[in-house]
Parts: sequence; structure tokens; C-alpha cells
Amino acid sequence: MKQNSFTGLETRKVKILRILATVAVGVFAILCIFPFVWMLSTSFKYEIDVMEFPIHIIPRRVNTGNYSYVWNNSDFPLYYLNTIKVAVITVIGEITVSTCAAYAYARLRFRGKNFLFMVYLATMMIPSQVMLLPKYIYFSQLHIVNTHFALILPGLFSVFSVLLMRNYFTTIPFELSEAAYIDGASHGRIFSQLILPLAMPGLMTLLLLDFTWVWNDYMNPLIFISNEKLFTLTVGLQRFQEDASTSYALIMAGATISLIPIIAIFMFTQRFFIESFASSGIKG
Amino acid sequence: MAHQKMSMMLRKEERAGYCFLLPSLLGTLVFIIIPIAMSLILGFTDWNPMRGLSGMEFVGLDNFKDMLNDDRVHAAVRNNLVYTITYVPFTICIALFIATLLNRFTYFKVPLRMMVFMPYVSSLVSVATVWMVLLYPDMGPVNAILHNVFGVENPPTWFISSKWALPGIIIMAVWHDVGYYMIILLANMQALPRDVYESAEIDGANAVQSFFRITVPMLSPSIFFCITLATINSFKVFDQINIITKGGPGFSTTVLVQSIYYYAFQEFRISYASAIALLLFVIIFVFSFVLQKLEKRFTAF
Amino acid sequence: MRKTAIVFFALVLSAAMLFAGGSKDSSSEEVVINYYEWDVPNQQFVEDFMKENPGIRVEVHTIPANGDKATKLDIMAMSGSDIDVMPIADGDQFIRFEQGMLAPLDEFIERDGFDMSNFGSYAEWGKGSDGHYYGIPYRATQTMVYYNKDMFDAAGVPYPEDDWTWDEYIDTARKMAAWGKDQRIYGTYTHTYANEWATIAGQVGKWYTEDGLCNIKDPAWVRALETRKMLDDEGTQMSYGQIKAVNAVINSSFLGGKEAMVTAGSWLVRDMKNKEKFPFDFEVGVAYMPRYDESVEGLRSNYSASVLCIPQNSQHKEEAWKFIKYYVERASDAIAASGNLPTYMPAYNEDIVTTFCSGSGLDEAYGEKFFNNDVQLSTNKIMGPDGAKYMQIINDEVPLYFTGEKSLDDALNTIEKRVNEEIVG
Repeated sequence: MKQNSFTGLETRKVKILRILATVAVGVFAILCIFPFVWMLSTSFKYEIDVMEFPIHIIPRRVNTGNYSYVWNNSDFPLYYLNTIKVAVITVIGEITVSTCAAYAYARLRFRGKNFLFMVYLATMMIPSQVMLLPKYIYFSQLHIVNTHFALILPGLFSVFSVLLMRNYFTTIPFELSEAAYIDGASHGRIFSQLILPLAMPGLMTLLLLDFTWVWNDYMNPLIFISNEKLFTLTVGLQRFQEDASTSYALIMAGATISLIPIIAIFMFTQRFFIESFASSGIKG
Repeated sequence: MAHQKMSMMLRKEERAGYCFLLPSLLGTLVFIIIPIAMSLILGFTDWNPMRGLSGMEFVGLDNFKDMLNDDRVHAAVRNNLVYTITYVPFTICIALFIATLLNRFTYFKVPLRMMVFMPYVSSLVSVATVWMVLLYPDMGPVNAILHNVFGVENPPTWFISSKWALPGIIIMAVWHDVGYYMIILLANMQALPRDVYESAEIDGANAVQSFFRITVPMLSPSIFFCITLATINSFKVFDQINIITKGGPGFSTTVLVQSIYYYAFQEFRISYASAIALLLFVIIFVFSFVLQKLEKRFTAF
Repeated sequence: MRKTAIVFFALVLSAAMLFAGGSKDSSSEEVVINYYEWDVPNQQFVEDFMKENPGIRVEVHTIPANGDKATKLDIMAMSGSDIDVMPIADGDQFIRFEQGMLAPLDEFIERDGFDMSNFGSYAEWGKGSDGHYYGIPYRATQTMVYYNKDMFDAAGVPYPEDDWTWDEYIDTARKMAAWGKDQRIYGTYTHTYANEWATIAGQVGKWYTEDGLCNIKDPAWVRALETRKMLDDEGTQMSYGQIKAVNAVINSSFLGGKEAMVTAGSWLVRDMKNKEKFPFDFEVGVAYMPRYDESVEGLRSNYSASVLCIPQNSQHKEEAWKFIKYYVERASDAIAASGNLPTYMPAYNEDIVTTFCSGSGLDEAYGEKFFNNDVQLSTNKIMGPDGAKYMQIINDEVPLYFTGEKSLDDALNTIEKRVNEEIVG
């Protein structure tokens, strides 16, 4: 049985099982892309046709002008660059900072660990909305309001990332690092040369989730950035919104373009996932 | 000798621990903990930001007493509890199920993963619109199925009914977040040793058996992590509700974060909003505490 | 490991120091004032202002015009950021006038002999409950009945007249609905904005009794609520629930030919100018709002005004005032061109109507109606410091009545109870 999965030969039962699984997930997956389909379809419509009911997925009259309008009639390319800048710096910094901290929490013993960990966990229990005003006052004192630092610096220290990586690191068998330590490797080496490579799927997941957040963050850029030259995509796109009026067609055209990097990152991260196949399930 | 060597190792380990933690700890203190502390202290004050720090007046528990007579907050607590208690099990179970299938069983793994993750990255406006259409009361797709296939006489009117708006929101939220937890679980499944499955297969375990005998027990720390995460996040729910029902009809979908936002930025009762945040904090804390206890129990077996 | 940690520590520290020492350009003598806005008219007037006032530079910041726009500005105003000129829209201002968030403007007004009567009834929208002015009205919106002339022609129904009553309006809507039934065209459209149902009843209804208690049971409000529900239920207009369920919006709906009439603000003229977004191909007419009944006289419209304010924390109040004054006195054309109504009466003339209508395809005879000083204005908004909260309570309850979950009495009783407890008591 076992060999079958490697030679690519599968029993009929395995095949049926896999087809069933594919159909089950497939049905759910199709439901999941409805909003994306709507987005895409809206981005090719005239505003006047957007909120029609029942919905026409294939636009009755196709308007390709939304994309060129979004690209040319705003600082869209600049917003794109800003977002890339903020996202790349934040994500790289955040991954570095949080994997280090997660390593300490997951695999090292030190006094105060449990207390500090509880503090970390507790910070996640405060809704960000209540902090908007105190944070604005405080960040003004730090002179980082209206700069990208107001987005990047708090982003570097995401507690979620620490928790996620801590969880992942704890799943790696401790015997591995103990053996290396007895062989004389420092904690730095164990971390960077043993644990990190083993944690690739976890790291890639972190990369994906972090990137998604920073990329889609709306409230922070809205509140902390006032200079239009520093806007990120989410806020920049909302500029097509007019008072008592909507511009879904334009916003969705922009949203579709801004989704491309996320899809690219997703595809990239999945390359680090090993494909394992069920070879059986089957006897009996 | 051995003892000394041991303690030296421990001391080295401790030092390494602090070094690894330091950058994160400093940053978290400056950019996360200080603003949080500032916000929470306000809960015990009566503060108009326009009067500056000198205008801050400590009022003890007055804000909390006010909450006792606040229908909006009562409704919010109730809705939050209903939301979390239904949302978390559904989300995690479905995510676990789909992750398992996507990890080892299906064809087209990467495209399917991408599709399931899609709601999480799609613009919230498009998500809201699609669900408003799906749940359209007058023979929208869902109600048409309920009526024609299951023979439901008066299908729910969903977002415009005070009875069905919250269930509608929960269904949408589960669907929206499954991909997110699926991704986390999937990564953790990668760490499960493959040979365990293979030997189980040789021993004749079928797919269902190996799921309950291997996947669930070995994955249990990660499952608990996801449950904790989902619990915390679900208590902080705001965006989806704010874009679809704005807490209505009546107070039927009002949640705590929305009350916080309302009091802080519609009525400018900043201190009161902070006090509600403290209440929310306590509720989440209790839930996380219980979860941790449960996890210890569960993993001990 | 230690190296990484040390490098990071150093990085974080140096970064922190960098910001702590943050740069502030105080070298030039020029005063910079920051004006935040979500609906920016043509900025030529800003250039002109700076030419006339060489010591002042105005930075215009555009912010997104969605639900969070007020929150952003409130946070900025309360936390002492650089905001100097702050717009507040359509009734949102009154609760903010009570917060100490905004500077009183009476001194400036008196000193410069700035005549508030030039703003007519719009002036009220800048006044706090203490009688001080905290805002200067700069743009307004008036609700009118827009109608699709092509549809009326096809149906053989006469166009709405300027002097008409609510009953006539209902009658017309029903006729148009009957005509449009097969094409799924509604007779009229009433949006789901807070208190939108009260636009006509606002001519006679009172929100408070003489004793200062909740007066939601005023026959005018009752009639207004019942009328909306009746028109919803009989299919004369898109129902409240349906508008909510499909997220319908006025401009796409009316300009998309889904109904024969619509009650909408003057901003609909702005959208009519945008042919790329709203390519419609029919003639639009505009009538005044119908009168409540025969007891009400004159031409009627529903209105609200937005104001410009100076946050108490602003460092440049003097310059900000100069800019606001220039804005309302000199930039009325720009405001009209952006599809809003200027509030400064002396600026009203033939040209401004032309500017207002230009590009919209709307006949100027209709456009003039927005600039008629003889029209009687009333508002569906609840003014005063508690107005926002009052409206919130109404909006918590009224939808339950519209969607048939609560009886009218139940809804009104709850509103009355809550208003009397939470606001009056």
C-alpha cells in the first residue's frame, strides 16, 4: 500500500476517496470565491449597474474604463508603492522580532516566562478601537503620527506572530535541540540552523498572514496618516467614495489590482508545504 | 559537579532567553502595552480629552455602575456570548475538517487552499454584498433552497429580522474565517511525522480512524491554540457587523466593541468606552483561563 | 544569537531616538494651516486666498468620505494634532459643539462685523446650545423631488407641480407605480437614512413636547411613519427591508431608471454630472417638496447644513478664521460647481445657478429652485445637543416597525421611554 503513493499507482478505493474529498472541499471552495467573483464582475460594470438585483455576474454592459481610471486618476501607483514599502518592512521586521521571542517562549527556560507570556496574551484581549484616541495622543508625543513609522513600528511587535510561532516551535521535538546543545551548539545556532529550517511551514504561514493584515489594514492608516502622499491602498481606494454616493465599481477595480500581491504571496508560501498523500485509509 | 554544570547551563539558557525576548519585549512595551495601559486607566475616570490630563477625574467604579442600567451593553454581552459560543466550535471543526482533507486527500490542493482562504482577503464590501444577496429574504438563493427543497414555509428574513440577524452574521463569519484557521492548522499538520500515518495505515487504520487516533491527539496543542485565538478574536468582532447591520435591528446584533466605538465616537464618552473595554477584557480573560485549564487537562490524558 | 539580539536592541533604540528628536520645520515665517475635507471643491480659491494672504499657506488634505470620516477628524481635533479647519456635516455638529472640542467664534464674528444674517436660516446650524457660534455654515443640501420626465410622459401622468400636498405626492407615486408595475419600476423612493421618513412631516412635527419630553407620538410623526410603511407594503416604493437587504442607493437606483420619482438632496445633481459613473439618458425634472397638508403654506424644502469649525487645540485660529471667512464669502461658486448649495446668500445670482447645473443636463429652471430665498425650509434632523442621540434611539426602533416586527405602538412606546430616560431624565 505504502509504496503505491510513491509510484503514483493508486487503488480504486484511494481514488474514490480522493475524488469525494475533492468534491466536498470543492463545493465549499466555490462558495468561498463568490465575493471575489462579485468583485471582479463589479470592476467591469458601470456604477449605475452595480447594485442591481438580481445580480448580473456577467455585466450587461462591460466597462473596462474602471481600471484605467483608477490607475491614472489617482495616486494609485504611489499608494501601491507605499503599501509595498510598509508591508515589506513590517513583515520582515516582525518575523525577525517575533520568531526570536517565540523561540524564547517555546524552547528556553527563564524566570518570569509564564508571567510575561500572560501579559503578551492579555494584550490581545483589548480591542484596538478603544485605543485609537490614547494611541493618537501618545504617537503624537513620539512624533510618529503622519509618518509610515506609525504603521510600521507597532506592526513590528505583533503579539499574534509571537503566539503563532511559539505554538509552532513547541511542536518540534525537544530531543533534537538537546542533542545539538550537548554537542556544543549555542542557542543562536540551534535557533537559526536547526529550528528555523524545521519551522518553514510555520514561518511561511506567518509570512502570509502578516502580509495579509498589513496589506489590508484600514483603520490604522486612516487614523494615523493624513498626508495623501503617504496613503496606503486601503485608504487611497476609499477616496473614490463620495459623500452620499458610492463608487463600488472603481473601488472594486482597485481592490482587484491590490489583491494580486496577496495571491502571489500565497502561491509562494505554498511551495514550502510538502505534499503528502493519503495512500490508504482503505483497508477494511 | 554535575549539579554545578546543570545550573550553569540553566543560567546560560536564561540569559539566552532574555536576549531572544528583549527586542520584542521592549517594542511591545513601548508600542502596545503603554497605549493599552493608557486606555484602560481611563475606564476609572471621567475624562474629557479637551481638558487635558489635568481634567482627568478619578471616579472609581462609577462607569461600571452605569453599565448595570445600560441596555445596549446588556444586549452586547449577550450577543457576544452567543456569537462566541456558536462561532468558535463551528469555525474550528470545519477548518480542521477541511485542513485534513486539503493536507492529504484532495486533488488540486494549492488552488483549493487559495479558494478557501479567499474570503479572508477579499474586500469586506464584497463579502457583505454577496452575503446580503445570498440571504436576501424574498427568495434569495438560501431562502429559495430552504423553501423549495426543505419545504420551510416562512424562511427567515435574516439581516432585517431581529431574530435572525445574529445567526446570519455568525454563518457569514464562520464562512469568512474558516480559511484563516485552515491555513494555521495546515501548517501544523506539516509538522506531524508522516511515518506515524504510514505505520497506522499498515496496521489497517482507515482514514477516519487515523484522523481521531493520530491527527487530533497529535495536533491538540495547535487545535487549542486555534480555539484560544478564535475565542479572543470572536469577542472582538466588529467590522462585519458594522458593515452589514450596524448592530441592528434594535440591539439584536450589537456587540461590545461596537458599543465601545459608539460611546467613544458618537457620544464622546471616552471613559465609559474604556470601561466597557475593561469589561470585555475580563470576559475574554476568563474564557482564555478556562481554555488553558482545559488544555492542561486534555493534554494530560 | 547574542549578536542578533544586540543588533536589534541597538536598532530599536536608535530608531526610537530618531523619532524622539523628530524634525519640526519652524524656520519659515509662513504659517501653515491644515484643512481636512472629504468633499473638496475646485481648489483654485485656495490658491487665490494664499495669493491675497502671503503669510499663510493652506494645506488641503482629502480624506475618504465614508462612515469613518468624522471619527478621524474627531480624534485629530481632540488630541491636539495639526488640524486647523474642520468640517462637520449635516447635524453631526451639535453634539460636538458641547464637547469643548471647538473654539467659539463669536469674538472673530464681532470683531470683523461678520454678518451672520447673511446665512439666513442656515446660521442656526453653527450655533451651540449656549448661544455661541462654533461653526460657520459653508455648504448645505436641500431635499427635492426629482422625477423622470420620460416616464411621466410615457405614463401620461402630469409632472409634479411646485405647489403640491403630501396626498398629491402619494397619489402621483401610486399612479406611476401602477404604470411601471410590469417593468418593475416603482412610483417613488424613500431612502433608509436616519429620519429620512420625516422629511415632509418635519414641516409641522415637533420632537419635544412643551414640557421638554419626548414627542415622538406627535400625529405628524405617526402619519409619516405610517405613510412610509403603507407605500412600502403596497409596493409603491422599494421597501425599507429591501433597500437594506440589497444595499440600494439613491443615485444608482433613480438614475438607473428603477423609479419614477425620488426624494434626494442637491448632491444628486453632482452625480448627474458624472456621466461616466451614471450614464443615464432621460430628462430629469425637479419639484419642491410637497406640503404636509393644506394648513401649511408656501414652497417647501427639507434642508441641512455643514459647518466649518476651528478646533480648540488649533495653534493658528486667527489664520484659520481668515480662511473660513474667505471660503464662505468668495468660494460660493466652487461649492455650487461641486453640486452643493452655498450658504452665503449674497453670493446667490444667475451665474451660480448656471454653475450648479453645468454638466448635469438639468434645466436651469429647475436648478433655480435650489437657490430660491423664498422657499420655506424645515428639517428632518433633530437639532440641538441631544439630537444625535435622539435620532440614534429612533433608528434603533423604527426599522423594526418598517419590517413588520413591532407594532407602531410598541416602537413608539419604546422610543418614548428611552428618550425620556436617557435624554430628558
